Amino acid sequence: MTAAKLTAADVQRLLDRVPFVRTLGLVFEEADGTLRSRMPYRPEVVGNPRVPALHGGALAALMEIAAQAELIRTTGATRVPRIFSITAEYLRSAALEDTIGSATVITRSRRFANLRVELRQASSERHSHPMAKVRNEVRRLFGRNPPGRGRFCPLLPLSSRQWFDHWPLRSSCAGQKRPPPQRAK
Amino acid sequence: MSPLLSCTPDELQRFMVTRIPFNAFLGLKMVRIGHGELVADLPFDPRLVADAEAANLHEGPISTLLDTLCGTVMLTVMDEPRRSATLDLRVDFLRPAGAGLDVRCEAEVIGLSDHLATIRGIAHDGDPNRPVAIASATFALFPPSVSPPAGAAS
Repeated sequence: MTAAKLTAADVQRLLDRVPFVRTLGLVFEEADGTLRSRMPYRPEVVGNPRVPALHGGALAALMEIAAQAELIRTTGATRVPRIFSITAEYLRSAALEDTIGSATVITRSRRFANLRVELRQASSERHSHPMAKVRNEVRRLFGRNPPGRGRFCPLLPLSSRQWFDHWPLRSSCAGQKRPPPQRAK
Repeated sequence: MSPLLSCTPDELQRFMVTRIPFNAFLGLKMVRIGHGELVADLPFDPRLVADAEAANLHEGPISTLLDTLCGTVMLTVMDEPRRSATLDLRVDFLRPAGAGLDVRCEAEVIGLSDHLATIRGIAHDGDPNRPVAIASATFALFPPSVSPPAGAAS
C-alpha cells in the first residue's frame, strides 16, 4: 500500500488550501530527496524584538505544518492530516531570517503517525544541533471517527487524562471538586 | 506583589500583544489577569483558519496563544520581572475549534522553583469543560535583571 511519493508542488497545492499556511507564506521545496518547509522571514513573526528572536509559537506552527507536509508527501494523502499532539523543545533562539523545517516519519500505521521535525536556519549551520525540534509528534492520518464506535477518543493517553481531571483550572472550574480519577482494574 | 497585577487593561494589552509582533499579527486580546493566572482570547480570523470549509482556527495560532500565555503567567507570581525561556511545550489537540468561534486560553502556574516554572494551560471555544487543546510547558527562569546566556531561547 505504499503510495507514490508526491512532489513538493503537490504538497504546496494541497496545503495552500489551508488559509493559515498562506498567511505564514510557507514554501515547500525539495532538496536532496527530502521535503523542506520554509517559513520566509517577515517582521510579523517576530516574538521578541529586543533579543531579537522569532516567536516560539510561529516556530511551533511551522513544526506542525512541516510534519503535515512530510506525511502528505509520503502517504500521498488527499486530505490534510489532523494533528493531535505536539511536543516542542526549544534549543536556542531563532534569528530573524528564513527558517527551514524538515520532518522524518518515525512510525506510521493506518490511523496514526509519529514524526520528528527539526528546524534550522542558514546562519546557524555552524551549530551541530538544530534550533528547535519536535521530539514526538503524533497525528491522526484520517480525521474521521471509525463508524459505529461512538465517540472514539484515542487522543489523550490515560495518564494525561487523569492529570487533566485532577488539576481543574481554578478560574474555569471554580468551586467544582472532581473526584480523584479511578484507575481501571 | 507582581507589578503586572496593577496594570490597566490597556497596559496589559500593550505589554503582551502590541510590543510582540507575532501576537499583534494574530490579533490576541487580553481578557483577565490574576495571581498565577492569565486569560486571553484569539478572535476568529479567516486568515488563521485550518480548513476553509469547516472554518475552524488552525492549531498553529492556538499553540502560539498557549505558548505566549504560559510564558508570561509566571510573572504574575513574582515580585520583580525575570526573563524566561521555553524549554519545552507540549500541546494536545483534543478536537477542532468550532466553526467561526473565538478561542479562549487560560494559563495557570502549577509549580515554581528558583530556576524552573511549570505551567499548564487550556484552550476552549466557549465551554471550559470541553477544551480544544491542553498544554503543559516548562520554562527556565533567569536571575532578576540579568540577561540570559547567549544562545538561550527567548
